[in-house]
Amino acid sequence: MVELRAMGTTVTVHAPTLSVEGEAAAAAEVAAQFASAEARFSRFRPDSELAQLNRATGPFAASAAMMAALARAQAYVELTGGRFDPAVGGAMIAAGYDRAFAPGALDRATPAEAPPPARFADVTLDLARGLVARPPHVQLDLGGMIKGATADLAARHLPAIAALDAGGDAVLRGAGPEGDGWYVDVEDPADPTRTLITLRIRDRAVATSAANRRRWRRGDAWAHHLIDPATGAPAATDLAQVTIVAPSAERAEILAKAVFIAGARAGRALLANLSTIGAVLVDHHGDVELIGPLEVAPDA
Amino acid sequence: MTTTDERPARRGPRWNVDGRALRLWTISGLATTYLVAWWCFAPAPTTAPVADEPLPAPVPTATAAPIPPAVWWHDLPPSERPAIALPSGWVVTATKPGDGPTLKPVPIARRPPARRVRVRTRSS
Repeated sequence: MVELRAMGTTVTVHAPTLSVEGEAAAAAEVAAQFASAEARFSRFRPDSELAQLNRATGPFAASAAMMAALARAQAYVELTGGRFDPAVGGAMIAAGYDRAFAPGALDRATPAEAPPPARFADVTLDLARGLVARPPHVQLDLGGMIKGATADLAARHLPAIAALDAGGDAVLRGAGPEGDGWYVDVEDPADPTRTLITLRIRDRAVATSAANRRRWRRGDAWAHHLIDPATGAPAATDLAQVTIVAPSAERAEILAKAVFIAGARAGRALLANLSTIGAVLVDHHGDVELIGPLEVAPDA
Repeated sequence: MTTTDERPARRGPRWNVDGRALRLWTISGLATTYLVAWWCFAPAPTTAPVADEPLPAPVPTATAAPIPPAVWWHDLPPSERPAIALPSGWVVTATKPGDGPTLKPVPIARRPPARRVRVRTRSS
């Protein structure tokens, strides 16, 4: 098992069929993938392509990778009914998430500012010519989606039995080291030292969204990074945590965020149309609801 | 007048032993000292004495047939090399570089860890 730091989180590579040297080489390849994605898509690096796009005052000639990511984001906006919207970058800044997160680094004595209303629908994508045009008030944030996409991409370089865990967003290839699936512990959002449930996953990805970790103080209130596009403020929802099991980490990441923001009732409705998606919903009372195709480990 | 020398008779040696007896006495003394020292300082046996088992009867050496000369398998011409039934997984390796089959490198297979590998999903 090899650990590395990327995108502000710990990335773990576990390839039990490889030698120690082979696993280290695979982890180096994963690190290169994450470094490349971060250089292009980081909101906090002034020289990244996304930062240049967010500063552009006219049509922006984007790379093929950026255009592909924006096209996928557009599809996810439609899939989630707007619960996922990458145009919340301005709202994140208004909430105080204006630099790389670290515990306490974003705390402010002043309350959050009023967020500017913004929709990804206001952004024009010219896929044929590779041009992007956005209104000045729209700031794009692709953080979670790109983390999932990079995990998917990097995992393709790993053997048929391997796990790549990017801070809780994990791609699980094959049936695990012992052939009976990868055992995935779902953290208790009320007590991160506890495990709520253990899932057994094969050849799928998992991601979790909650407001318990990436949060900070604004005045007398807590703010967090899961912005509701409908309000431009950190989502106030009846869910404490959502875990999604999906064919890809990108889709798991997007749906976990969208269901969390939507809340339990609308989240169930969203998932009802997605038969291949499994979900673990946890409310603020600690009640757990399992939706869709999931396999709970017998020793859970 | 004759005088008689009345000198007292000369007394014999106090230990009237000849050379042979002296050697016997010396050997006896040394043997006694050795036995006493052995009895006092010899290490105690750590295990109970094992009853002597009858030695197997010696196998008569076959001397009727001459002993064939020993050769290395690789030193024989290929046509004269006998077929060898090797145990499963065994290979005939070379006695010098370039001789015999080349062993393929075997990938290192690590033993599974004692505890099951677990992934933890959480918000990040």
